[in-house]
Amino acid sequence: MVDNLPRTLKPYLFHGIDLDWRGSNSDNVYAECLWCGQEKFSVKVSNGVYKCWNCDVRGNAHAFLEAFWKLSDEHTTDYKSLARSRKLINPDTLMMWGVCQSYTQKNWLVPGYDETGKLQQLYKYTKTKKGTMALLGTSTINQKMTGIHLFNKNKPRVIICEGAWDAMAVWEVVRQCRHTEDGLIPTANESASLYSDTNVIGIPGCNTFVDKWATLLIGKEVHIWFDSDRPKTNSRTGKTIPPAGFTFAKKLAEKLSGRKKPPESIHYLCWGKNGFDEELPDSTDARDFLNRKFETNGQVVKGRSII
Amino acid sequence: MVKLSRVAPLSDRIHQLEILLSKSIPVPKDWLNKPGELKDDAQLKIIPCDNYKELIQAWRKAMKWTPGLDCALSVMLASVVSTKALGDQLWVKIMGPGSCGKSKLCEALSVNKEFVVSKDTFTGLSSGYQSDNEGSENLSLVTKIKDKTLIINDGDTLLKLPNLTQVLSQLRAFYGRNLRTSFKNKMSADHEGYNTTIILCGTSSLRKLDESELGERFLSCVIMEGIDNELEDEILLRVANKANQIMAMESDGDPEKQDDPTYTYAKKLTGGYVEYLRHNAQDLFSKVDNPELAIRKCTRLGKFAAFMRARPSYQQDEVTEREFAPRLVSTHIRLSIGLAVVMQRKKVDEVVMRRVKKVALDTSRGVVLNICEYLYGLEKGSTAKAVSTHTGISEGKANSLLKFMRKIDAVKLIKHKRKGRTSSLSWCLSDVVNDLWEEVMEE
Repeated sequence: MVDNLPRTLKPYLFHGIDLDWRGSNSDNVYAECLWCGQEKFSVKVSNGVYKCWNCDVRGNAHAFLEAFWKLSDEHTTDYKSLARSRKLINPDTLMMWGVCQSYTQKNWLVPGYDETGKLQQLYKYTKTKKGTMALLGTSTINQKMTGIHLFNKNKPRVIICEGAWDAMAVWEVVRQCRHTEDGLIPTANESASLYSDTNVIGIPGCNTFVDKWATLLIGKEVHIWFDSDRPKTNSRTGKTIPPAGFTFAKKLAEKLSGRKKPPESIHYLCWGKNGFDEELPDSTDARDFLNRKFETNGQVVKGRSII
Repeated sequence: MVKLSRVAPLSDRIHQLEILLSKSIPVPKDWLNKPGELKDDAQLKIIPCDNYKELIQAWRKAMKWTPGLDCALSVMLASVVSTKALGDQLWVKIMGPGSCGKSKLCEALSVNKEFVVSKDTFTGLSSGYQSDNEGSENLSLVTKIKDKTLIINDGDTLLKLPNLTQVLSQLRAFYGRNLRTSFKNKMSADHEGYNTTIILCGTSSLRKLDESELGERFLSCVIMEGIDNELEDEILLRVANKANQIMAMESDGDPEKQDDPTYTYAKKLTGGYVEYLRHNAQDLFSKVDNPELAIRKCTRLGKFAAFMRARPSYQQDEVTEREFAPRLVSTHIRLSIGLAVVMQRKKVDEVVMRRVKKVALDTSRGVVLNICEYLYGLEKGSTAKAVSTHTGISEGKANSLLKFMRKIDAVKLIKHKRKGRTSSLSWCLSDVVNDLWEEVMEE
């Protein structure tokens, strides 16, 4: 992308709309419309409003994200490969969470929502500059939560996970187990499962929590499930940086409890006495832990092996 | 054989989930704040700033930055920085027509919640409301503004309060840093030693406060006297284009995204500059040099303002008097040093004194100033009728004011003898005011 790109065009370019921007001085830039196929899709440079002069789809950047997600979701059929790579049991989990393949770029997209459940962000699962895969938010759009479209305000419990994939992994297990005197057992009855009184949501990272999101947590039993991060050493100063997940869980607890309308109670995932589990690899998250037992020894388990 | 990503079966995951749930424990008590301790609404985070030029530069990018706004901002900041300094407090009135930018300046200063308390509506400093039997919680505003600057954004609504007299008397008393209240319950309290500056913003209607003697506690700064047509057209075009551009954007409640980014940046920088000024006030004040000439000018300005804003009393007509000038002189000195600190000048120089003079003239604005302006330079004086014509007031009022001004030694009556005809009388400035006028208006 060109460095001096107008901010207003970035969301469209991020999702592969082939706008003809070459430092143009004109007010509008054009591309092929994804909905009707004509070269009449325009974006106004001054305010980022789009409009197709043929089929009349129109709106601002947020409206575009919503329309683009709908289009991509309609054209996504196969979730198996992603479910496997993200270590999820059921491909339907991805579908229920609105994950879909980009209509233009074929990357996987995860929708982000504000506290009212409105789709306002589309995260793209793509390779970063460091070469690792990550969910990147649409340029110039604020960070949002995932799973809010499934949020039921009547449920008393909320589990906040660090990231969409963690939230999905926890969500699919919570839906399929229930409490008994002997502990948790599998169930196919969702209304009897843990999910009947528990919401699971994902926030973009342990350093991101927007104050407005706290309105969802008023009067709830909140569980903050962040990663088991180890302390790090600042290479320049030599100072020890406390574990990120533990530190942010503490900050979030302070923030939530100090609000005029706080949660009913706040819990956190205590990996270990120093804020992390020494026996686990650095940055182990809930998804890794749920999948861990099978992975660590690699032996045949219950008569099945894939090696 | 290809090694595939391993996916644990549900049964294993349920077991692991049980472990996770057992690890999910209540947070330690020292992680918890008291409910309501933190503000619910998200606030703008200030950007550290210790450079006045950088601040003004940001404002120039944010809006059409006029000399009136520049002066008003510096005066407001001078009031803020002087909050804890000893001496008569620097309370200021910022006046201007609607949409001239007063609220924008108020919002910018209010970004710093540590040193500034902003209220859109003001109903008084003290409250006798008793929330529990013991009267343990004092809900008075005065407890929240100790050592801070109170900004009343819409001063015009103050004038419409049903208990205006009571509120004004509270404010008058509070100027002396003390407020002693008496209620018929357990909420009576003596608040003493409160350093608070007040910035009152509104339209020219605020001049009505001068009638109540509270006006004597305030210096005035006018952003815009009348509306300049060319300037208005220039601003209108800019505002229209901006409104057209931003209509398609949505606000998501994030305070960073509520306004135009350049204005948001200017606000955050102003909050940072307020913090810098308040944290370093004592040190900054000690480094400013106030030359003898500047001090003398302030004494003349103070006395000038005392004459110009004198008015006949509305309460009684037995005694005619004007305000004694020491308090005005003290506040002008305070303003001059405050402005030097804000504008990062090493001494109270010509640039600073120009602004002090502007404030003095704004404080002096009114019919008495208009009369003196007309009479100045008229060696033979003028009749009341001519004064009335030139100042736009009725002849009766002109007569009444001139008589009042004579009693306070602002004008004198001179007799012109004419051969064979009755002598005529005319009004001219007294020697005191004439000299004052020359000194103040010499530039």
